[in-house]
Amino acid sequence: MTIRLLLPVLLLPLLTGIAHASNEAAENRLKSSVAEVVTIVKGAANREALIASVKTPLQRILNFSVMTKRSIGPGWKQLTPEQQQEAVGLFTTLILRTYTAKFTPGDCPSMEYKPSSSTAPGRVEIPTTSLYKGSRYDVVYRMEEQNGAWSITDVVIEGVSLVADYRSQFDAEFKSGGTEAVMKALRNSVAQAK
Amino acid sequence: MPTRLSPATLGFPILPGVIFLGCLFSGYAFAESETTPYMMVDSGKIIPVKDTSDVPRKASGQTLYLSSSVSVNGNSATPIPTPEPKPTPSPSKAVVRKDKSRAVMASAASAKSGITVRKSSASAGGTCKTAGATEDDPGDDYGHPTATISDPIQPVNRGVFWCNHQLYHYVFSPLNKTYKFVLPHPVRTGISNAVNNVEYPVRFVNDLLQWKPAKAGLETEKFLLNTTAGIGGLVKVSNKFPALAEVKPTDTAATFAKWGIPSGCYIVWPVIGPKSLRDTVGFAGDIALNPASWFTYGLVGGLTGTATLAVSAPQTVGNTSDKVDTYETLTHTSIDRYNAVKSAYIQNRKKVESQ
Repeated sequence: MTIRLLLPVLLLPLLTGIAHASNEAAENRLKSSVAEVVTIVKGAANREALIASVKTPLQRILNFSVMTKRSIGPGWKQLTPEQQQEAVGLFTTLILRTYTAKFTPGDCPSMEYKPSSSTAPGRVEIPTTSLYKGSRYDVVYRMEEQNGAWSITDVVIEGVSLVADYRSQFDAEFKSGGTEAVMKALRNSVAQAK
Repeated sequence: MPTRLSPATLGFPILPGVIFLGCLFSGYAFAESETTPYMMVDSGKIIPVKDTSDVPRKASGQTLYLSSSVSVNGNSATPIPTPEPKPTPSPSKAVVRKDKSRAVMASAASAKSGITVRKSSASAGGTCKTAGATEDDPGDDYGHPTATISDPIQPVNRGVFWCNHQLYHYVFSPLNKTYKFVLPHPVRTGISNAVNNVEYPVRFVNDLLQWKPAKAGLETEKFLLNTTAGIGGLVKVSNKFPALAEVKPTDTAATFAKWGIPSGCYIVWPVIGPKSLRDTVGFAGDIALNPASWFTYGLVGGLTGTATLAVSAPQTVGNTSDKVDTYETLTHTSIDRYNAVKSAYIQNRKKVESQ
């Protein structure tokens, strides 16, 4: 048993998929974002330039405020608005680092889109298979609609949900020390992971 | 020598018979002196009841009581007053909220309460709706993960996890970097593919044990194709065929899960890493089914030391390199390494078991 975890996110080409009429908007949004990131990755001169330029499209497609809120869970309501803003900023840094750590200029995984499904009104799951360096990864993108715009609220790689993983960590911190422990842990991990 | 019936031989079965009959008689005798559950009271005095029928007849002036409802004081008896019955609580109205997100179990006092089922979302992350958080965020279904493994020895696990992390940081991570530096990517992929190919019996046997003969057939096709056209498994030719490429791997632990064996507690093993109790046994099963182990442990053929190393080394190195990469990805940007790995392990195993 090997957990093949790579976080490729949004690197294209190869699109095969049957889009359901109701989920088409979500799929199109995902595909256009992926296309955008692929162009950047292929055209990047080096890693630093790649990381700098890929952040903008990633921030547009990934809904960091919702992801932070769900990762922190019950403690979120107890945070002050300033703390909430700080938490979203820190979490964004953390996730972007995770994603961009594996990017190599010119090296893109190919993605195959499978039929998407709607779990609830305004919520869509798009399963894909990502072929990267000879290995296949099952990646499911969970998207939600907010004010007419679709964004990714969770990425599930080989069954491991990003938000659920962070939620289990934050829950333990919250239980041990409340919101102070949560903020402290978040600040520490951003400071350490460079 | 023919057995002759002697008094001793005859006496042997008779003795238990006597004892048995004695018990019968004595039981009968005890039964005769058993008191009836009734008590005859006449003006407060107890009168012996001779009538042993179900309900004794009584003369006028006499009152028949159940013995349990009378307090005896010498020869007189006074009935124990029955306590006032407590008022039964009025059945509360069933508390069934009909909102979209959930329904709450009705009050237990009401016998007619309906039992409502917590609707779990069908999302791939496998979580169900939580109480407080869903009021304003229906998409938050991470409150109660449906898959958890108990962790009763967490302090021990954390200790071993810390040791493993030091091992990773000072030994395996540098080794992995060297491995990647020394061997170019195509070679590493070839090794990885060959190792994966050799593990075919693990997947094949477990597909059969899980009653999936079609999948087992596909695994066999994949193995044969990669071994022949893929030069001993180095090239994964099967990736070109979608039907073969999408066959999901399985292992002994997943078979145990299919058979309904509970997962047991969470254990972090030195070097090997985290496994549930069931998965540990499954891991042993995987090693037993892996042909490379047969050579390594001298079960098949007479390989010399160097040859054994040639078989076992790629196995170890290929698998370890993957594990090191995964560990790095999981923990590099984590809040708490231990919980990050634990949560990822549990979720991934749930997916593998459902494949």
